[in-house]
Amino acid sequence: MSQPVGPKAEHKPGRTTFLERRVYRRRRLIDAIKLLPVLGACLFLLPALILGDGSGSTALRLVYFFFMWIVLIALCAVLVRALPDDPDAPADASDPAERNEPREPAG
Amino acid sequence: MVTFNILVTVALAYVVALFVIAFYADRSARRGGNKWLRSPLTYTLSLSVYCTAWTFYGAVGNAARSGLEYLTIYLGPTLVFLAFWVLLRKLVRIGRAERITSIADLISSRFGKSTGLAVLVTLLAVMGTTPYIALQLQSVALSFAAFAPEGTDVNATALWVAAGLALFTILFGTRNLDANERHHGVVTAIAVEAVVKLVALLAVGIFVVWGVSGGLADTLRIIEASPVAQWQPDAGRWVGMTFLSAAAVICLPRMFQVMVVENEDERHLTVASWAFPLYLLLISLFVLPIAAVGLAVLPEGANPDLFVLSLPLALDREMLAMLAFLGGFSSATSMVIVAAIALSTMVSNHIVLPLWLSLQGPRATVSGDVRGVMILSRRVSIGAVLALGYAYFRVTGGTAALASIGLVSFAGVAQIMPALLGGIYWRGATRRGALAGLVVGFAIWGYTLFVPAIGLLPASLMEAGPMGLSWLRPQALFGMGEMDPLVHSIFWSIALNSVAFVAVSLVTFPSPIERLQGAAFVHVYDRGGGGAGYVGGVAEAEDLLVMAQRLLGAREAQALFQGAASGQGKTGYLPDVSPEFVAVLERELAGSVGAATAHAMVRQIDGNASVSVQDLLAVADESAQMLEYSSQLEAKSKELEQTARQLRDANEKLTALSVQKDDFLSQVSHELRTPMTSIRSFSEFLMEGGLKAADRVRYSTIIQDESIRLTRLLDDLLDLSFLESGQVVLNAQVTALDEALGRAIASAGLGGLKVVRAPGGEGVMVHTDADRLSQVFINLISNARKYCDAAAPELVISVRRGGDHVDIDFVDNGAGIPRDQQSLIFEKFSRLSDHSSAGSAGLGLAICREVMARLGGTITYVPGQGGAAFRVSLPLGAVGQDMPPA
Repeated sequence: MSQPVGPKAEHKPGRTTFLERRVYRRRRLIDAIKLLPVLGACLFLLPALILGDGSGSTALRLVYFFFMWIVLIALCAVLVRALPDDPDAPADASDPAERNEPREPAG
Repeated sequence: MVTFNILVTVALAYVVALFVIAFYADRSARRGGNKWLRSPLTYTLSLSVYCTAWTFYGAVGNAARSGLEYLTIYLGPTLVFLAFWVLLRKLVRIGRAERITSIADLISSRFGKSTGLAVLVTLLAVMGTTPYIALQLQSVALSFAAFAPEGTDVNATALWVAAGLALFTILFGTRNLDANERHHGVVTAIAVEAVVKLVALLAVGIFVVWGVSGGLADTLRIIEASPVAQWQPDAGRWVGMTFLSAAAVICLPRMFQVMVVENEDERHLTVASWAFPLYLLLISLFVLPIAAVGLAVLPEGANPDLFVLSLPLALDREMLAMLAFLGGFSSATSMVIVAAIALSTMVSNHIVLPLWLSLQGPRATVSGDVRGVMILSRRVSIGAVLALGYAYFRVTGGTAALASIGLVSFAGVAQIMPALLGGIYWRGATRRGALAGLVVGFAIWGYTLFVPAIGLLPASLMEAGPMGLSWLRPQALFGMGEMDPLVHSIFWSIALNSVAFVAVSLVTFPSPIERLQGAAFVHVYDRGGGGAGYVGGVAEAEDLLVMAQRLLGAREAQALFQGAASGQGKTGYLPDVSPEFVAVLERELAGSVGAATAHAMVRQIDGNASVSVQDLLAVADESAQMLEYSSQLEAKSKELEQTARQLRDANEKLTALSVQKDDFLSQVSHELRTPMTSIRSFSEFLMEGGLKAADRVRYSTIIQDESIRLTRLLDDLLDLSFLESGQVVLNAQVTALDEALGRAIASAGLGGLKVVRAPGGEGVMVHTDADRLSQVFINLISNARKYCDAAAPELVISVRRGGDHVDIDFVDNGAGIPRDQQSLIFEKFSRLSDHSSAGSAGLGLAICREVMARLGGTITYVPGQGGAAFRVSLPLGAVGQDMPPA
């Protein structure tokens, strides 16, 4: 009862041992993307925890945080741009025209 | 000098421009939309409602008071957006699949479409957001006051602003009811405002760094020398506030509205994942410099919350001040508009509409004008939300610092987070668990933070605790008094909230509908559609249509019903009321009124109080039947495939046989033709006459030889044909193998061949057709005589008994048969090419094989014996009796 009933639930996609190189790359990219917040948390929280009682320079800290911040943003931008389109993503039925257009640069 | 009047004119012009932008965006969206409207850029910019006037003015104030701490408010959301793949993508997917209209709707829908939870979350959201709206009104009013002559009525300004915003929100926020038809006008206006506030803050920042301080290095020196540098990070507050802002960016009703509800395309998230952190970075880039320079330049006692405005004013940069004012105005207005839309949707869907429905009696959904009521209720809710914000502003009257109100609000809405995260990742989370967690977290937040913050608790209680119970002091629960009050409150409220949520979830049992919804939410990537909303009952399709028309509008509802009917293979507008159809309908309605209300309304028509386990089992059975049917189909198709394969094999065989027959015919013709040609030529010579007697005799002899050869060929063919068709009558008798061999050797005619009989096998008696067997032996012996190419040809014949059969080997000392031809020698006309002159038609071995098959034995070629070696294998069995030697 607690398991979803239906053929879809039984044949879960993505349970193959050996993947095509492209799919494998995509999965590893996603792994990297998933690890970004962990890296971010380390970079943002650890200095405050470790150097909490010191008398560090505020200007230096300011430079540190903004530098790490921009590094994380750049890393994220590079990773998501390298990610090929998800073949499983639901097609947006409301706007078929948009799908054919190249992704617009933003920011 | 910018006068107050000019400022008001500019503000009004700005608002008019916003109206125009929203109007055109709405119109263009209705006409099919333009590209820019639906770009990830617009999505990212609209997310900037996170940055309110609290950010615009308050961040600088915060930085002036507590140094770098303001950064946590932006680092938290940065972490959340970096985690978009795990968290936000799932939220957005769920939001689209389940037609979620607000965060209250999400929580209620996940936990069994519970109205109670929806109301609770709505109340929490209103309580958390009202102070925030008040804050925006206050900041706008204060910024006006910064330009205004002494004695201007700040309250009146706030009232006008509130009224204007209510008007804008009502105009563009309640144009359409289906939350899936997004508010394009509003979102576009918000995106424009995002640009304005970013440009304004950057302009002030650039002015401060390069215009006032004289460059980056100087600015850093000023920061080091300024009081802001005295601040040292407090690990608890740093982590606590980062966590708080991370939780808030997910749970704030306005953020949920732009991030999930207004999301056009899931892929926009991948751009926002880095673009929104970039926006936050740019917004916070110049905050600390502005604070430090403000503290250095402006006279002591100046309100740091207004440095962004007062700094350019004090340095006579009036246009810049005007821009800064517009930036602050943008921040405030965009937040209020989106918050009002989000809150009004919640209040209307989860409080007003259920109340109205219950007041109208059981048939209200069919007879009442729901659509009108909904629009009215949403408009009234928007007005009410803004009125509440204004009232709060009037009551608190700018007593608390801007930043602290913001954090109190954040901590309030963060209470939703455990239920939200538990709901989308943990199927075991139950409605009662969510309820318990929310109530506990909400209560602790109220007691330890909200009520003390608005100064409602008497000082004695704060100092000594209620009734003298010091361990219950609001800011030192269980004696943890050394903590920062904010961190203290976050720690206790979130910790106990989570504990209550998990513990109660573990001990309670979810209702069937909760379990369905839970599975649909947690496994949203695995399933195409949303969760089931099965209602077993006797609803009439017509009643449902009437209701749907009143909620969705006549044309949309008819299209939906018609689509469903044609999906079921029916024509017209009334599909069968199947569970699937009800689920789809419920989801569509949920897009307008929220899951709980939609569920309640369908149930009202349906007359069925709740979903029973039996109903669910029925659904499951149906699926199981479908599964079985499909596996049957699969088996059948396999069977068909097999048959087809067999047919294909048979066809191949037939084709091969036909080719074989053609070959056979052409070879027979060829074999017949050669002797016929010589007979004809020589008989012609004879007819011509005038031949010598010797020649005549020679020619006649040739003719006769060829005729004999022809006859033999025809005999062989006939024989073979009889054998193959099984028409041969075998004359079985008991024969001594030795005798049969002896006869065969005698009649084969040895020529130069020496036959050696190996010892063994004497006295073996076989029950078989002796003549036929001899025929095989003769054939083999004469083959050896004809083809053995050794200088002294010799044939060894050996007999060996083995079990139930006897093997007779014929091995000569010739060159043998090449490996590649060994498989062909038993075929008809398979005379080896270099022996074609030997005068045989090549039927001998073929006949041998057929004869042996008739006799129940085999004849095979045995390679590797030093010459051509044939093995005749004959069964002893029932036919072959072993008789004692005579």
